[in-house]
Amino acid sequence: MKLGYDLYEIECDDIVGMLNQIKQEQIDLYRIKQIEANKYQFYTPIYQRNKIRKYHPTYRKSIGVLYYLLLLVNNKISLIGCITFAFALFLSSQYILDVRIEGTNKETNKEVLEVLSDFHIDIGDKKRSYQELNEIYDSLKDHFKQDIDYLNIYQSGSVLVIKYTNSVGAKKEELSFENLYASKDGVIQKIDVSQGNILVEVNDFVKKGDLLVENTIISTNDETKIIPVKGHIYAYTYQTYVAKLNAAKVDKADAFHYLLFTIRNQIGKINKIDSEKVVEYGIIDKQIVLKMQYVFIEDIVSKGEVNDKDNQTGTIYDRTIE
Amino acid sequence: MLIVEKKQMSIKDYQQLIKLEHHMIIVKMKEGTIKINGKDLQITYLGQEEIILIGEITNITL
Repeated sequence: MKLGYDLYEIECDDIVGMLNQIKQEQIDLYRIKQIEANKYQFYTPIYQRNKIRKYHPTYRKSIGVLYYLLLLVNNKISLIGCITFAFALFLSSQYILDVRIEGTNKETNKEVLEVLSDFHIDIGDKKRSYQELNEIYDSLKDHFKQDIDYLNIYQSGSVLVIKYTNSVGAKKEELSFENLYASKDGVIQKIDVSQGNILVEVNDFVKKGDLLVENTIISTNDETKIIPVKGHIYAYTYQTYVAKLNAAKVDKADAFHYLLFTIRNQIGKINKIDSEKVVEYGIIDKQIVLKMQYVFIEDIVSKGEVNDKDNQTGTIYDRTIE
Repeated sequence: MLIVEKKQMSIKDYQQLIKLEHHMIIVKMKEGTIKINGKDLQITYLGQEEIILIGEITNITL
């Protein structure tokens, strides 16, 4: 046990006799060194302190871990501090100080917390035994049997850890069997269809109401099958916007920017503006008129047949600002 | 039993220390005495059954 040592000095005429006595007392001495004519220095283990004191050596210092531990318990305040710390450490190891859920689905995380609250598991509650954890595991497995593939529950120190992975089949997706039609006139820019019978190609010109993706396929046996349809078809669409302003009311220098801003405000939610061109800008009948032509890239897919004539490509949006 | 290493020497199962000086250490064993001569000889450990010496050992007489 080499945890701590005391350093002593001793004055004696017969060091050999004293060392032989020390041997009889079963005391271990380390680094015996003559420092003066009849003066010697040596280390002894701290736990043999009482034995060596019979020889009345002069204590010099102590070294080692045991010495520092003794220092802690020698002082009353330190002793109280140590006991308090040990008690707090013991207490904290008995209670759950954090609940960590490691999963990707936020909704499932919330539900897991709800199930845990049914078991009265929260921060500050007592740690659970292995058997109790097993019961919680079974309960969680039952509750989330459709949503969770893998579940693990354990206590790491004072942290209750719940790990899970979502079931691959847990993603609920409703299949749509409706045909996809063009909601606007345009030139097909990109086809992003994962399911369905695609009837158009990139750069095809389509009119509003044209069938883009069909829900039926005909097999080699001439059997017609209905298949799910899913996807997006992006097309270049064209729109013209006109904005007018009373020439007398506005400074001509600011009119263009004002009108352009007004037109841009009118543009609804579209995927992307491909190009923006000024078609006309001038004074007509005392009104400053700005006519802009836009090419958009937007998803033109619409489920079901399209009949109304709004939002057709080429429609002129006319707005007069008072 | 004597175990001599490069910088230290261990004397196991000793009975009594007879002489301790910087240049000489004499130890009584069951079989007789061991006389160790050298320079700056020091006992680095003295236990109930073993003595470990350090220093420059020049001669060992059994």
